[in-house]
Amino acid sequence: MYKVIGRHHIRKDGAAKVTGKAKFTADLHFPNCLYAAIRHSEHAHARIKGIDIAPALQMNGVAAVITGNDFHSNKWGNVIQDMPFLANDRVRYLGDAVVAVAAETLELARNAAQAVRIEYEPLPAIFDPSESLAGEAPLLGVNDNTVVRHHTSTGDVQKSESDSDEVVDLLFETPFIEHSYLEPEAAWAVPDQENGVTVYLSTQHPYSARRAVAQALGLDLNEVTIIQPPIGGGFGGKDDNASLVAARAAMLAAKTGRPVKLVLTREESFLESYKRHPYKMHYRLGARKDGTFTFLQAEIIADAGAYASMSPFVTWRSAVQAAGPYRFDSVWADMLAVYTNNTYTGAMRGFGSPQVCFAVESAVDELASKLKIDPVRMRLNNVYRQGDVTPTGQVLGGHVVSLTQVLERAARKSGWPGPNTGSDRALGIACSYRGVSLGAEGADQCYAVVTVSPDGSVDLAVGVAENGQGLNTAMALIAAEALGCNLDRVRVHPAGTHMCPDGGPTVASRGTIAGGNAVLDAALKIRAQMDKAAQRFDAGNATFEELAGVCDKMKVGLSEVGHWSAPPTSWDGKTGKGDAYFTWVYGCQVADVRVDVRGQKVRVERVTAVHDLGKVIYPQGAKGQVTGGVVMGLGYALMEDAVHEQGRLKSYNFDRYKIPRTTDAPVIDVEFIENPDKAGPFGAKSLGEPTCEITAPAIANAIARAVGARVVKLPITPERIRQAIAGGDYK
Amino acid sequence: MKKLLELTVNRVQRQIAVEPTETLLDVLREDLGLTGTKHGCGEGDCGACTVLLDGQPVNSCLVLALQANGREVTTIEGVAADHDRLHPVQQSFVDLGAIQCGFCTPGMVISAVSLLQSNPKPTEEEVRQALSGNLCRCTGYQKIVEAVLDAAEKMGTGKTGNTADKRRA
Repeated sequence: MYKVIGRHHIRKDGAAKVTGKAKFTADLHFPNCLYAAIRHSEHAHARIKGIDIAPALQMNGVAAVITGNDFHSNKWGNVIQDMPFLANDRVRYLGDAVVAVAAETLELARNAAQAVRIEYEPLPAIFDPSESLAGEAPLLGVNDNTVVRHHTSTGDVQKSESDSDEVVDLLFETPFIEHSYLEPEAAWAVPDQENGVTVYLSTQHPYSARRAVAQALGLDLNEVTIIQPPIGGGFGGKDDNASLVAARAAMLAAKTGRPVKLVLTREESFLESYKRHPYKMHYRLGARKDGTFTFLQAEIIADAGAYASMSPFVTWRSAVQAAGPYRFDSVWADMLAVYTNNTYTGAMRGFGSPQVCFAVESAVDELASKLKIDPVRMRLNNVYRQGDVTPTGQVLGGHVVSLTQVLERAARKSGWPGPNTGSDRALGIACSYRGVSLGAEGADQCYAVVTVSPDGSVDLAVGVAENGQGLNTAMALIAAEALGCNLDRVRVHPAGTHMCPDGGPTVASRGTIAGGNAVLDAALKIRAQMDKAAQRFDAGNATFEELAGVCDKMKVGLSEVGHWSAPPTSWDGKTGKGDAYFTWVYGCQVADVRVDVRGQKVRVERVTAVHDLGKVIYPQGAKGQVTGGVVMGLGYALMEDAVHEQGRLKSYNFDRYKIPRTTDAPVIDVEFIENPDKAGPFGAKSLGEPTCEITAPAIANAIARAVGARVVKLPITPERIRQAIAGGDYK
Repeated sequence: MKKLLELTVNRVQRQIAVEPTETLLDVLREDLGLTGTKHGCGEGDCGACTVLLDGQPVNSCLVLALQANGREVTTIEGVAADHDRLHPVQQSFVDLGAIQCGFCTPGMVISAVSLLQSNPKPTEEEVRQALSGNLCRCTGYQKIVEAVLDAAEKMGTGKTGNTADKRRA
């Protein structure tokens, strides 16, 4: 029925990327340019007593040295404005940038940055979030050290606990995670011919960077243009920090009137970029003898690090989804994020879900083990069905609640239950529900601009960004389907703030649903004009191209701005109730894991991933989202840990911060369930993050089934497995 | 003090004055404008800067430019036989969707081309071994491995040889 979407297509930027022709930000060059370098803090927490830039300014070839005092406003943040472009009164973590320099060569800029004299008065620092709220802790926030607290509850946990035959009580911990996009942060700031500045930026949200640069330089939004060249990965990590980098480069460009290149080294990227939040999670779950869940109680504390960044929203999602996709008589969930002097934490693929999915899904398996019930059967007995009510009071309806479907399919496809427990190889399962897009976090809307030219070629600009996931190809497919033209007629232009109105951030797995709906709106308006013209001018048999020509001659406009505004959501922070998201997606993964206890090795042989994404628009891209998400989840499960010691990272590069390599990656069996959703373009909704949030618990559950002991702390290293076996309280 | 570096890059003879501290990666990107080779980590851990030096894959961030004196370098820009066509490995990467953000892609392709030169019919395990020095954060590697096997098949039959990752040998 569909001519274009859901069929095999290759990505539009494939040839450019495979030949080296694709120009990433650091690959660009502007004549008469300067090179920038950053000087970072030397303390995790200190007062800046003085900054003497004279020694740097005196150096031959140094064009500008800037501090926080140079900015029109030195406050930034997408949610809470607590972050300086350059720290000028206090440094709050070791990654704080204090000085930026522009010089004729990079080497000179770096030397000049080191020549600046900075005088600090070290202050007491906090590195353990559980100490952050103690009376004697230094004040890092405004009134206290709480960044945010979310709470939601339903029923009566005490009563439900007394109804329980079995209760598990577990403390889970997850680490800091570095996004590890292969391309470090990069910006080119180029003064324009008027008052403004154009910044070519490795960002996944050009509009957020535009706000930051405008605020930093005291410009209007239309005086700042952010252009997104191809970006080397984002995963949530190229937002706040990219905006800071942009603002520093833009200020240097404004000061000097020359193009400025600012590219972070890998070490600088590790040092200053925000990480995924470490969580400490105390979970208690109860069930009756027959396996029916009774209650879930979760008390969670997140390390927000030095700045709020996306913590308020990340932890809100954790609170909403804290109880997993299960019916409980009673739920009580408390989520707290606090300031410390560690690296700040923010958005990373999953956005508060990988942590709670690990806890809930591990705890469910523990309960199943205690009650001697098969983990799949346990889940099937308790997962949400059509019309069930979540702990926040939302009725799951208006779309197909497909948890049973994804569970049964994944179990069958993976050969569940697999080898007998006690062998060195076992299957582990995890499932999730996930609210689509931003939900009640904030205004959720998107724009697209579509133009059909007289020759039938199509220009498309959309307010969400290509981060490598294949968004532009998906947008082109949706446009081609709705317009009735061939895919190769559609050109998707690189994201630029001058090309299209602000479409909101490319986060929350909202690219296809937000961007696609906006594109669809514009394309359908144009198609209606073309259909009308075909009738009026008797061109019913004309090709798309011929009809485009007719429309031009007859002055029928074929350029439209498409707009999408999300269906209503609601949230009452006082009661922790509301329709948190306008729709949901469901997924299930099974990991087939071999544990060699003596040889201290864990090998994930295969992961079966079944996801209901509504409708597949771009099959190759969709599959890539799953395989990539699974392997990122494997890194979370087994190897990644951005350890901080007294606020200092133990590793600043990939020599010691290990991410999965080809030899670590399992075979991944991908299957999509399609239950089209009326909220999405052609029924499509979300995929990017669900793929990444349930791999770690599936692996954790497989390991527990294989060795008969539960590791409650990520990453699950051989050492921790050995400790768990020695402790041996699994059965 | 700058020294004269003579080398062949993508079949073209080049003479460049370089600082003794400059890496091959710097020269390729900054002096020759061959920006297809990426700077990912600067210490040979990510493989984004992989090029062929006398036919062998190297991390160009770890090679001093002067070490390449008199030698032959092939970058992603020169891996195909001519400008208008893709190397079979490149073609398979495009066809099978082995590309997402594309930042690791040039290095991946170079490592794969090198593997297939010495081992035209690798097993999946041999492909995984040969590409284990190239990090990718987007794809989960599955499509990349499939693309290399697909290219091997399309490039025709050959003898099964040994794993050809010289960097790790």
